[in-house]
Amino acid sequence: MDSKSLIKQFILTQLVKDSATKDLSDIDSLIDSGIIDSLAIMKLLSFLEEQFEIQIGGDELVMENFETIDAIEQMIAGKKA
Amino acid sequence: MSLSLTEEQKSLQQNIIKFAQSELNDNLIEKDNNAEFNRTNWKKCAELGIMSLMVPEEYEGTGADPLTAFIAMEALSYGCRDAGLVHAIVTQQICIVLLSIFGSDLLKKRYLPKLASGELIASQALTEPEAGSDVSSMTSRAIKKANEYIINGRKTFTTNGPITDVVFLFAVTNPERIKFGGVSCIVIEKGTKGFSRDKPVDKMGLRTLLNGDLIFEDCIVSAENIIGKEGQGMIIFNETIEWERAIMAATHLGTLRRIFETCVNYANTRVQFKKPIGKNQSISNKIADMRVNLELSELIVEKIGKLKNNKKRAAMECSIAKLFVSESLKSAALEAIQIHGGYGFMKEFEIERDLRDSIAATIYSGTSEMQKNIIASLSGL
Repeated sequence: MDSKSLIKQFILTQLVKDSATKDLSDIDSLIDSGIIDSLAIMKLLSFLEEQFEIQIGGDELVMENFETIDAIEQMIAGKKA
Repeated sequence: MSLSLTEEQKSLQQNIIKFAQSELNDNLIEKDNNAEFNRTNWKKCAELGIMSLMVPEEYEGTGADPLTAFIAMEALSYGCRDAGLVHAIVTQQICIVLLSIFGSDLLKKRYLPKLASGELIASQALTEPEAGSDVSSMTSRAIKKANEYIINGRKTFTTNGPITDVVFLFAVTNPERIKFGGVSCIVIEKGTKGFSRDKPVDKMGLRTLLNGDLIFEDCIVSAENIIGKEGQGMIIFNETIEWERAIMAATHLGTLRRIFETCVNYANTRVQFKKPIGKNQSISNKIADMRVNLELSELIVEKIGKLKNNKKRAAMECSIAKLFVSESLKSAALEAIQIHGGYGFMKEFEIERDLRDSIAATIYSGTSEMQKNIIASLSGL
């Protein structure tokens, strides 16, 4: 499974509270939809750091990097490059 | 913490204990009765380098690694029986961590050296009368106009609030994203027009720690006072509170160890019916329970110290540590009174103050109930 699919699967299975939501587009706002809140971001960061063996801190902890699945994937790709 | 300390860490630990026991424990009953913050002892701690532990060296700090800082704070709270003073110092350190991680170079240069030296007293303001754990109920607003923020709102229970020189304020900058992405952190100095500090509130414990309301009425600050980026407030808070829970757990560990040793000593020396009371299982079992909690507390605090040393995220572990050590402390403080009998109930013996102080430990920085919610959520629920 590629990075984007892993991220999407985690969000859908672990962060989405509305069981009716079965899919997300890569550009849906995770913040405006209420999927990412103060607790969800902690879960997401723990997942990303463990799954991709990276550390996310300081300047990377900005909203833009968590706005969409695309944005998260790009941040991960940038760190892995 | 007794496991695998370096010689340097052991030396630091012993020096701080000796300093705290000899310098910080005078007139505590009187100061507790009067709810008096000890500024003289605050300065002494700053001179010893306690506040500067986590300040990077380039900003006139010690730049100690997290585990070493936790060892130092455990030693301080073991030796210093003024829990209010220790808590005030923890708050200073949290603000230092917040600024060190997220602040601009300009703000770091402006504030870190003075926070490290104790010249400035810092506070962090999030809680509001109607918004405790539920940040989405926050009503404080910071509206940007040109290169300034206009701030209105009221913060409550703010630690160090009544004496704060610098406040790290969390306020809503985008009401449409209040749950996430709409809160920002802004630093404001005492003396800024429109910013005022209310009188200290009266509390059952931690009475030498001053808490109070901060009021913002059309308070205008430069946009350069923002910490990180606009909308980054909840991420900043999340990151900072992880550190807060870690440092709090270390300080609670020190107090827990002191209470345990006090109880062992008393149980060995207090003789009733021609034998030390510790020979009674009803007493020794209480002390055994304390020992179990002390040992496990040591392990979790050491674990988070090592995780932080390796720059690992430790939200779950910090919540576990905060929950377990604070509840262990409260339990030990209550049993300590029972072990000391009538003497434990008397203010003169300074046992009862530990209980009053320890109750707050299971409330601030997220109640025990909130810690369980976080732990459950991070466990996949």
